[in-house]
Amino acid sequence: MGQLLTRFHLARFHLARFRLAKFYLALVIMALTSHAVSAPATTEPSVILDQQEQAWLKTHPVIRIAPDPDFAPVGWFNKVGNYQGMNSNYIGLLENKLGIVFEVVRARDWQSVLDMARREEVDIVTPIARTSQREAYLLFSNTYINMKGVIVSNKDLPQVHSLADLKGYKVAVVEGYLWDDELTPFQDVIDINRFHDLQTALISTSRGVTDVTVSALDSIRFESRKEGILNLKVVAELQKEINLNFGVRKDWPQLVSILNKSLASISPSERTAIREQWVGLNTSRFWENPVYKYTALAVLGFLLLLVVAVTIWNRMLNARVRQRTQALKNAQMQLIQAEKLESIGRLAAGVAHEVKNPLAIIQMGADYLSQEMPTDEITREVINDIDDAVRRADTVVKGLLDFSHDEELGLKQGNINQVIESSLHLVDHEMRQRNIEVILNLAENVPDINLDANKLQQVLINLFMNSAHAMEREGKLFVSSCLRTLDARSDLAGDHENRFNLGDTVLWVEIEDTGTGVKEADKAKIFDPFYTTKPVGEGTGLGLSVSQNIINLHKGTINIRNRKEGGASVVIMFKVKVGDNE
Amino acid sequence: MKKRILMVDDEPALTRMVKINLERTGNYEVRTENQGSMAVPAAREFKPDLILLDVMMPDMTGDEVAAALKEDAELSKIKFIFMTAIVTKAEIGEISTNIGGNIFLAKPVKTDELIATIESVLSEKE
Repeated sequence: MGQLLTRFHLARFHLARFRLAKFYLALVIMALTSHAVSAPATTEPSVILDQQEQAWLKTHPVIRIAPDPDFAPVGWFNKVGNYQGMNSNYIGLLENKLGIVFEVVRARDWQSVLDMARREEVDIVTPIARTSQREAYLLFSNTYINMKGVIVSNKDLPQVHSLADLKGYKVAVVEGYLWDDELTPFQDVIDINRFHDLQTALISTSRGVTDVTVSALDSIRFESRKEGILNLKVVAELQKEINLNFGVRKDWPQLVSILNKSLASISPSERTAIREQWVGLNTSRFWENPVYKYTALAVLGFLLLLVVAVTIWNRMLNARVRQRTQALKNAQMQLIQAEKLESIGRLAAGVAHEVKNPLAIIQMGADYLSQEMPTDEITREVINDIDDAVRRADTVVKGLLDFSHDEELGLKQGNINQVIESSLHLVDHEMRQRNIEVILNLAENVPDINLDANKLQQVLINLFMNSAHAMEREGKLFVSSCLRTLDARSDLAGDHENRFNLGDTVLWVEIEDTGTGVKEADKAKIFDPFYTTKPVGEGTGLGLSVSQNIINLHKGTINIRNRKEGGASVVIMFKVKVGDNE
Repeated sequence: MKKRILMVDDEPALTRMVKINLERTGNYEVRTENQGSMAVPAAREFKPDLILLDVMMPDMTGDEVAAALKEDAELSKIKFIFMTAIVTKAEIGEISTNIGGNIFLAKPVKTDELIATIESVLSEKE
């Protein structure tokens, strides 16, 4: 189980690693692509310019460009001062296509960019939306980036569809951005909260300080991901798109046409690559990130396996506890039984002595009377009854004495088959009288064991006689012995379970008859001392309990069950040493 | 001539029964004693052909009686039969040095059986 679990877990792990590797590979490819497009141009221009335009470029070797310094993911300066983002890629592409290098000017903020443009301290500002006010001092290229405006919130606002619906709400915007300009006319009815950057605006909405943030969808996605904001959702998409262009100083119309030609030569796949690199079309939700997804799946899978493993382990423990409890109960029962037998034994020795002398007196008295009394029928019957009573009482006492002396086995190495045969010989006459056919099946390979032949003979004779009594007139008695490996639960019925386990090899002796079998009600008590099913005076109820005691002293077990074909089957098992059977 | 039998047992009713049953055959003269310690003096005086000896007696066990008889030159030839209520290996084992080889009867015993045993012991060669 453990090994399987580990293997399965490893397979999971490899899969996750494989996906992760794929993900990183994709990133590396993107990074390489971006490097290629933003690398300084050293190749020949790939845009077909007319002679005038080419001449213009030659006469203007330095073109100063001022990007918005803080407009992620479109463009921004990172911590080490490099300009990056979608716009940076576009600028790189243009440099490449035109075979020129722009001089990038870093302004403090967007407002400064516009100021520099007005003073003609820079030649291009980017990215910039066309407004009538800006047209006063700038020419505009074609649009190369457009962005969707959205309203985001941390709650559902089904009634908000446009900016006009924001009456009464606390609205977060970035100061000076298009949205600020758009909303300002409504500032009497809309609570406008102006922030210096988008991050702060989004955090205020995320924490419920403001109700909504209005900005470009791509910027919101980018900043949310960077800041780990997960609870914002788009409640409305705005009709108005932001179209971003290059703004060119008014006296350089040639540059506008050059830029437009270059922008036109950018293929859709190049545009998609740029967009994917910074906005990530398919990774707008964190749970769709493959690293997250497969890590989560792997963790879930592992947890599931863990739960299954713990459940199985728990069941195994439970089963073991049940087994141990049962074993303890059995041991306790055996102890109680042993104690019972011991006290019966002690009692028996005392009783025997005190009972046998009176019995002897009665016997002798009856003997005398039988000689001296008139020999009429009634007297003879009385004397006979006394004789019988003495014999019965004596039998009981003898049985009791067997208890007190069972501790003393004369153990010797011997063969059970010989004991079986000699015991059968002793009951031969009885069997023949009752018309009982004895069928012997003794295995030759049974090993010698430590046994007390006399005691075992006593047991076997007892069992044979029980069978004979159960069959009345005619029947079959099967007696067999063999070495056997216990391979079925049913082999361990009754007492056998207390001493043997599945897989043990035992010396197996079985005595089967075609008699009346054991009644269900008698089964539980059949080995109890003094329990008998025979008529009063015909059985002491000690035979089986003495037999069981003797078998137990041989470290063996005995059990009785009914055969399917009718009749009873007694199985006796003895321990054999490993290798004894060869 | 009647055979002389000495019966030693701490159970008076039993010794009486044995005496009555044996003497009514006309073949035996029986003397009884109910104390183990009386066995040797009685034997010396009565000169029995055979002694029926109980094993478990309070003052002197059958084992001790047998040992005392063996030590006495005059009495050492007397045969005896042990009669006991306790037919256990353990008890036989404990005193086996002195009762080994002797006939041993378990109570209760039928008169016929007792007589047959007595006759068989007496017919043994000296």
